[in-house]
Amino acid sequence: MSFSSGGRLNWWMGAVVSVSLLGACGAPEERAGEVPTEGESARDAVAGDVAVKLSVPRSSLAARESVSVTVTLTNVAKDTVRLLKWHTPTDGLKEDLFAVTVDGAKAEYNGRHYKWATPVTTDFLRLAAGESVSYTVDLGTIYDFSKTGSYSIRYDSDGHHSDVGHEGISQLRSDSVELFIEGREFQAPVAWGNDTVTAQALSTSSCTGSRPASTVSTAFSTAQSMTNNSVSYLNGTIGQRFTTWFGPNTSSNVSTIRSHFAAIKSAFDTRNVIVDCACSDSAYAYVYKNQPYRIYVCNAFWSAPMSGTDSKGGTLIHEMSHFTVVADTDDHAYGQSACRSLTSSNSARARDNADSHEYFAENTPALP
Amino acid sequence: MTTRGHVGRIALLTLAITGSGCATRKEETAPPADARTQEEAAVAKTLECTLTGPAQVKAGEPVELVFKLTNPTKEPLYVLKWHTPLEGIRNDIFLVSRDGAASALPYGGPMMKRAPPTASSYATLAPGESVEGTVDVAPAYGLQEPGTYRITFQGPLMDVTSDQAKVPALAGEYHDVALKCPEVVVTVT
Repeated sequence: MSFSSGGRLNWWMGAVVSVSLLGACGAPEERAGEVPTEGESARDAVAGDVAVKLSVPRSSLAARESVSVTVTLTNVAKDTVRLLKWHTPTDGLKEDLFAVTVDGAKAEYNGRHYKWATPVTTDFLRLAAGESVSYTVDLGTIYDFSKTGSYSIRYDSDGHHSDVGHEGISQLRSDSVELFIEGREFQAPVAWGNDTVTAQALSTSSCTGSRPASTVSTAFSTAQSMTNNSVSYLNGTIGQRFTTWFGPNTSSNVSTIRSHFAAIKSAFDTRNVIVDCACSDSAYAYVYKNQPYRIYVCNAFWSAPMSGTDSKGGTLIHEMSHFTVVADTDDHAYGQSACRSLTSSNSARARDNADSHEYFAENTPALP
Repeated sequence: MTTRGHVGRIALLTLAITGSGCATRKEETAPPADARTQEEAAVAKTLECTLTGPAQVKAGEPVELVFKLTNPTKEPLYVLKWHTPLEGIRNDIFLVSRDGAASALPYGGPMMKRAPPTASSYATLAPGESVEGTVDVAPAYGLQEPGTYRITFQGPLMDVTSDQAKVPALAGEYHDVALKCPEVVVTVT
């Protein structure tokens, strides 16, 4: 957890925050660009309509640090335009949208390629004049950063060719950002589902030897099934299982927890989750709330059971709940006993507590 | 890293756009008065805390705070270091606000799920003794931009006892103790 300096985002973040964050906060239900109003039209963006900016938090990255890049798309035209979401990171990275070179040579794209059907209305992202959207993506799971060297990263939505026929619709290009990256072994994402490519993939980092990626994969699917079970429970009869971990059975409380687990499920099912096994602390695991969806698992994780109390599967749920974009939980209490006490002493905190979510999901011993 | 705050805002921005809500810090209701044992009440009354830091630093420099706990009682006290600067910054342990804003700055540091504590998870304070921990709050709370920041240690101390037999706490039998620690005001220029 070393912190080094570099703060080059200041000037444009200020602009983005003032222009669009505040606007978005005023109408939190409104999802940028989605659900077009009936009858309202937007033309297809043409070259020059949408400005693309890339930023990186630092210009030098150690091997254990993720290659996170923030993409900001701003409509600089005078009217509303629409973009193919496939050309943006709206739903995660599904295409080769970046041109990455190391010391002048192309770095391989190892991510997914989709064969896209003819786009329908919901495949477009709409941006009003002046509107910006930002996405932070981890390129380490899809591009080959195994070489140590000077990298140049540029956004180029025409870098892929699997949507022949649509390539002219909305070309998006940015200037390049330059950064020095210490080489790290590329870990191919583990595909999920039976011979189907889904939007969800797990990748691992430094998971070898006594910390095998295969164990992480099993933990991940265990976390998914615990999450699915939790979602089902929350849509059924609410009983002791809820009240033990989250307090009074009121519609507002149930709704809060239901939305937390819906977000956890969505993240496990649709996001590029990275489990990093390099930590050797005595703790179970940790995350940075603002850096979805990278989960660092530590020593206690490896000695934990796969399911049940304080298990591998449950630990992943605990960590997933922390991300600001998931359920934004905190750590108010650790352990079953302290979490049960929290429910009676301060149940609002119980509903904001990561371990409480974990124990609810693990449901051991099982409660009705 | 010094861009945590920005990363936070990016996350916040994404959050706002995806319609999940805007607040990064949930509103918390005040904890209701609970029945503490006499021992805990005595401990709570007696542990003293100070938090000190530089009045002014240049943007980009570390903002190092010294957190100091003192045991003025006649008995040794055992304090679980979790969620205190005695173990560094491993969770969201401070409330930091800028230029009088009501809302706290987003926290960009780690959130760590703990294994059960061991004896070494505790600091031992002999009668009259102090322990201190120094942390740089700038990276985790994004104190890079010029402004005046108010920094408060959130507390509580997660487990405090004067009984060595209760170290480490077993089966989650923690006795948490609220701690009043005066806030620090730091101006970043």
